[in-house]
Amino acid sequence: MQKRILVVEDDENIVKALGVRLRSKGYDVVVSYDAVMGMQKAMEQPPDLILLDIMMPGGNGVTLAERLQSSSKTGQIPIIFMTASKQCELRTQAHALGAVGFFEKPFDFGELLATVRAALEHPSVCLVG
Amino acid sequence: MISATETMRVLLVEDSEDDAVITRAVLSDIPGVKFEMDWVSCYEDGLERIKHDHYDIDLLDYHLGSRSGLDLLREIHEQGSHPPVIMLTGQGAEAIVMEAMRSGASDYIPKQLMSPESLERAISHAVEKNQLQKNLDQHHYELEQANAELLRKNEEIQRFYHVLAHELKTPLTAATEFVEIILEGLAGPLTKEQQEYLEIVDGCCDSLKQNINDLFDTTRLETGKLSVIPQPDDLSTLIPKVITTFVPLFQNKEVTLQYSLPADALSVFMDQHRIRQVLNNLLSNALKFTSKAGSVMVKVEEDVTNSDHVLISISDTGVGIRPEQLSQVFERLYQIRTNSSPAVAGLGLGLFLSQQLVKLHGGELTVKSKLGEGSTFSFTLPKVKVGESNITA
Repeated sequence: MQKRILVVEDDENIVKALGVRLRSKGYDVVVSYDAVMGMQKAMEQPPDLILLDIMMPGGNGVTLAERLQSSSKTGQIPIIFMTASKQCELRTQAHALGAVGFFEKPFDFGELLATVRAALEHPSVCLVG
Repeated sequence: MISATETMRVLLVEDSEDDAVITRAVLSDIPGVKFEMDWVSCYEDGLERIKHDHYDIDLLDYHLGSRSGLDLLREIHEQGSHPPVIMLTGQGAEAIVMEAMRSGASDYIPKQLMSPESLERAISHAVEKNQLQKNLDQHHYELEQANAELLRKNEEIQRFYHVLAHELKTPLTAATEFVEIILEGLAGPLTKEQQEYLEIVDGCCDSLKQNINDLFDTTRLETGKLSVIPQPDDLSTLIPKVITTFVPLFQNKEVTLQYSLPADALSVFMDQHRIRQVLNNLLSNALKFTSKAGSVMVKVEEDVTNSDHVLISISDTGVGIRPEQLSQVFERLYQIRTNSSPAVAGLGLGLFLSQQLVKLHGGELTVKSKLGEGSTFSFTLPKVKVGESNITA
């Protein structure tokens, strides 16, 4: 069955590039440009994986992840964080939230895709270093 | 000498009327200065006057009924700024004098020794000291203000860097990715020329990415915010992985790239992301400074000088470094310049960062070089001893 990935990212170009890449690998891609809409889409139709930007206007990705985790409907969905910030605290926070990946922009899309694939194949593995 | 052209206002707090009369007489005998003296005989009146009136100098007697001039001095000193104070003491009252000076008195005079000369000297000294203290306080205040301003500016710069990082990295991520998408043919077939030009754009994006990362790492290093988290990890897995990414670049330039690892697995304490960064930097440099038909060798071995460490060395047959430049290559913003490759520059942060990153791991990065024959950059990493990995992993 086709896996659905929710991309929550405010930069349209990154969303578009991720869309092209993920669709070319056969994934169904749902997009949200902010945290509020991201939460709504995740609740409406829980995806198999979420790619989540941390710094977004009108909502922080970490807060969104906390909210997703506290809901029984979305709590088990693996999350991969993407951020332009190099703050170590964010990596620690992501780790504490059980994120399966943490990518600093500008990231390698090949590595990101490999992490997506691994997370979808082995949902229980935590890949954050 | 007191050089006041105006009248000096003096407050005398003194419980003996006789002594007050004497003091007034001594003051009037001081030549060249006109004094206007107010006299109060008790602690409370003294405190009231000092608080609400403006005097140029306070003369406090030590004995003030049940309380002392020292108590009064302490009380006005605690309340903030006050005119310079001269304590009037009995003879042989060294302990009181010491305590008075510690509590903020400018000077003291034993009453028995009071003369126009001694009082003038004490007043002059006290006024001068008070002025110096005021100047010092003013400078202190100005420095504090300047420091607060610097801290505020620094915070502003940090915030700016944060935004700048986001604003530079996000579009660069998208640009790189779209180039890759086109290069991989996901947007349709490419002509050979289009392919070639896009590969140039791709290379430019890589350089930009490298520069941006180095710039931000340097800033973070200097503000103490760059940290490494060394964990037990296998070098014999990382080295081939890094080498693989360099093979096409070396092939393009026709430079041979080889590596040798010891037979056993090599577990060291490292932050893989950061050690990869060091290896990338050293390999890029080796390639940059080695011309066609040259070779680069990556070697991992036990550190013979320190058995607790592993030694990783990258040797090239490149242009080499002049002996006088060797000590400078790890300096921040230092750029290796050679006659044969004037265009080879860069930000001059790579080696600086690499050395600092290795240092944060508890290792050391050094260089040996011979001009015209090549260079060897070597760094050490702490070994994981048997049994240690289970505890730390």
